[in-house]
Amino acid sequence: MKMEQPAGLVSGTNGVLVNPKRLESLTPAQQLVLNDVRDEYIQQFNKLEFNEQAARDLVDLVRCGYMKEKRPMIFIVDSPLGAQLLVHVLKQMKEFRDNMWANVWANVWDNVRDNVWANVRANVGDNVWANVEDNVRANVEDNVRDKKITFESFSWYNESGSLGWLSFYDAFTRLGQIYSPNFNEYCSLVRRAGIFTEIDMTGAVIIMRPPKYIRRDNRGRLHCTTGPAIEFADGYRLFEIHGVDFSRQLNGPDEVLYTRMFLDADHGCDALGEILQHDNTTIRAAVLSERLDLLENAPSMTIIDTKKRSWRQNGRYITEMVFDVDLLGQRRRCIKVEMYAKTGEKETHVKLVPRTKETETVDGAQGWRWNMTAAEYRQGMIAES
Amino acid sequence: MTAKKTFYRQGDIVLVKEDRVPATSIKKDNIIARGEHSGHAHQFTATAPVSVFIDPATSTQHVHVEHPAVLEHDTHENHELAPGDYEVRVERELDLVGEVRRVAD
Repeated sequence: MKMEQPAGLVSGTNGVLVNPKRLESLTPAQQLVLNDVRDEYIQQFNKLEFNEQAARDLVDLVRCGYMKEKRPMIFIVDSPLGAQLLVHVLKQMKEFRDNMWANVWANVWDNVRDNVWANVRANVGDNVWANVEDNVRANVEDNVRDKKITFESFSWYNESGSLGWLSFYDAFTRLGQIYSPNFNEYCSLVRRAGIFTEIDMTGAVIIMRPPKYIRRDNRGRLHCTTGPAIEFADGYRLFEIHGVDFSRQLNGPDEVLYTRMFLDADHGCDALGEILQHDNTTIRAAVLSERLDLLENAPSMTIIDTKKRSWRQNGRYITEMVFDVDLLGQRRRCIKVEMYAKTGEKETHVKLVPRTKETETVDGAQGWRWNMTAAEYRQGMIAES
Repeated sequence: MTAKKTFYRQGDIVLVKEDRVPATSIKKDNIIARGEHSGHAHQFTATAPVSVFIDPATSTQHVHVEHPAVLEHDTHENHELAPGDYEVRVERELDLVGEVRRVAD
């Protein structure tokens, strides 16, 4: 989409036009523009669409346009681990010796030119990308170290993780504060290309297609309890719970634990002792955060309050229970709710709540979940499901 | 005496009756966007006599129901909401993993 140059802008630096009127505060409508841009970029990232021609055009823009180089060979692979293996192969050939990401990044920076580094990247890139990069690095270093494969840095540019800082400048472009033809051209290509990330070498570029899917929790962390949280077309995948990686070693003991707790038919119903003895605290926390139901059988469990209520006058009941239990070195409180789904099947949910005077009752614990007092929760409910 | 706040609960959200939708709120689509990672959304049909708003400063959603309207969901029972204005509250959760990570750092 070609951006129309807004009227009234004056020359700034480095070919950027700026609004002479300083933006001191945002109106609600302007705040909504920022929200819309943010949501648009996040949704675009989540579509995981790849456009090969746009990707090639982007490489041309950066390597030939900004850096005035001959067009490099372009390799397109399905996953970051695949890219690491390929770059290792290419490095054996004298035509493709060096990883030159720093040099390319400097040119992108100079040509697109920004003064401020946005942290919207965190919402799009960091949570997902940090996990993937750490895992790839771990797998390269731990599993193939004996073959002398070292981890090669991925780019910070051209890739989907750039959508963070691109959205920042795009937002201010849409608010009419800046206008940069260089930025608009670069931004448009990055958005259309959908490159997950890339490795730039002398004479070559290795581009990664986005994964087949990414599954996350409501804090944006990689998360799935029914299978991989991220999977690439070549089969490379990661099991993650709330951003905790179970695939540091592919098919290793943590993946075995994940499978047992979340995929096996018996859902590891007798595994509480084993989990509590796992030597990694974050693995323990991740498993237990999704398997709080196991704590009901813990020796340290104490019932604090229970309640049984008629469910939609159809002869069924909701049962609720508040209990305390030792968990990861602290006394903690849970609320367990048994109710019925739309299908008529019984559902059980166990949630952590703070251990306070208010949450000593079922109504207090339930009220906390929606920022209400016990009395408000008890007296105010019209209907529930 | 504080007036009783009535509410409907559907899964992980509640709709709490309020006096009126805040004036700073801006109209959006009829999906109370939640669970986009799971694929399930709490939503009104496109023709439902409701308007869903969002307060851009807090990202809190509000709903104005003109006539009785049905809030739908794939896995939770639907609810018919009485006319009025409602604040949407999303379930709070303690982040055990985040807490453990902060301690570790």
